[in-house]
Amino acid sequence: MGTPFKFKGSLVPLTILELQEFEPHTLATELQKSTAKNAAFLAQAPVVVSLEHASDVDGIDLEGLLNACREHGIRPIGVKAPDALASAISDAQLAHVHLGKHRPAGEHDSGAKKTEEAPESQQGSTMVVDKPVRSGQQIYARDADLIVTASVSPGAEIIADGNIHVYGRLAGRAIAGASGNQDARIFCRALLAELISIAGCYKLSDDFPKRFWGNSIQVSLEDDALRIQKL
Amino acid sequence: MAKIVVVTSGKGGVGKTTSSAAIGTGLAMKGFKTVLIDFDVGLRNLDLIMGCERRVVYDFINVINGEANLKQALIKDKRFDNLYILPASQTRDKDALTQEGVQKVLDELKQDFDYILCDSPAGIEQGAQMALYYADEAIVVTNPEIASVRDSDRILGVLQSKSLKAEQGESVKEHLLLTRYNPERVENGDMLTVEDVEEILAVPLLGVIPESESVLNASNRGIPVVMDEDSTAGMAYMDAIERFLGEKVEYRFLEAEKKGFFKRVFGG
Repeated sequence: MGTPFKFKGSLVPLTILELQEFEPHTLATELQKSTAKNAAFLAQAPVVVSLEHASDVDGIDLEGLLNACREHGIRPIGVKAPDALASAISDAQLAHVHLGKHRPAGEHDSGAKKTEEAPESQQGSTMVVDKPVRSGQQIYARDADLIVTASVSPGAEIIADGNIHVYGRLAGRAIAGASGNQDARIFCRALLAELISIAGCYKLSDDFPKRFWGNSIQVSLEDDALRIQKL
Repeated sequence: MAKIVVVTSGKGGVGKTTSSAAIGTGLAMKGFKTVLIDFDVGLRNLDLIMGCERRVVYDFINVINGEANLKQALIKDKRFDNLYILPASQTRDKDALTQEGVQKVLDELKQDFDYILCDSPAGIEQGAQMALYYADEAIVVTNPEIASVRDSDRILGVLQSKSLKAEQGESVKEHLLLTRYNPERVENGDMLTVEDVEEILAVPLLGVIPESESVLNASNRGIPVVMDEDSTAGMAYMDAIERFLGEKVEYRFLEAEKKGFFKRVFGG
């Protein structure tokens, strides 16, 4: 007999409560307004409280914050915060969501030249496909980059949690950063794609500027918009 | 041991049955013992193209269901001793094809034949999947137009994921057969060029069959077009068969015929 359970990797939609700053009273009033408006949407929805962009995280009253949330019908299941708060989060019996990557202020928009290392989960893992990806086929490189040395046909779909490289013609759909990595990029030798997407932000072929069509390009995500550049 | 070859395309009406009949007959003409199986259950056509429609007594489904044995169902061609046809059933549908049944018939045929040609129905469903499942090689028939090319691309994907070879981690050997090629229309830009299709599908080219009236004439008379030695299509099929058998053959009929002086003056 097998084990009575199994662990399965899965993606569950979560709402993130992104805090810029925390002051218990202001938060309570603001939440009051917001939850009244979005009552149905937020009712008992699992929420991750993110302190990623909050100032003065170290002195934060985590318990007060969580209580304020609960009072307004929000159910925090985890807190995304720097490691300094790890023990406080664990005391509150919530999950600690690590920051994907810590970027010092100022480097955020430097765009063109990024020297940071890939997030740990993606280090060294690459999926290489040497055969043409045919119409109707779907390839997913989980937690990895995807390199296709052949062509991707119209009606085919290639998906990666990391970057995508296509050395043949890219005529199908290419979805990079599929689980939210905003630093993922798409590189291809001939852009003939039906759709390109990075971290959920997408563009259809009709929206590609003409000068890129059929050309060797890279796509990156900048300020929540896809940016296509010639290579 | 026989080689199982599926003739497939995804899209309908591109010339699968015509090509199956031509290639099967050509292989027999080259001395190989060949059987043609019609997998298009319910839309039986191969027997018509082969000119043996009045000799069908039992069919493929009867054999699968054990209502007849293979010897009773196989129709021997009257022109070539080493050519046989296993017709489809016209009164049933594709669900009558079972994997075990198909395997049983193929295993039996393998003992006797050099080549087993499976004429696939259009589509990517049950019938088409049955026809390609046991294939060692695949001849993908494509017309030089985008819908046909895309469907061929789709069926190539199915071949490399849903065939027995794919399940065993091997791959089905692919051949591209471009049919209904009209050099004039290609020159005018109405049709894709050979190079376009080759680039999109990335499959080795087995042959290019020019569009020709002799194909329709041959089909109507039940005589496979390879037997018409004067027709360009017949010659192109023979070239393709020789390439299939591993010979090096120059490509012909790829360019529009240049009208000579007399043709220009007196009409072609």
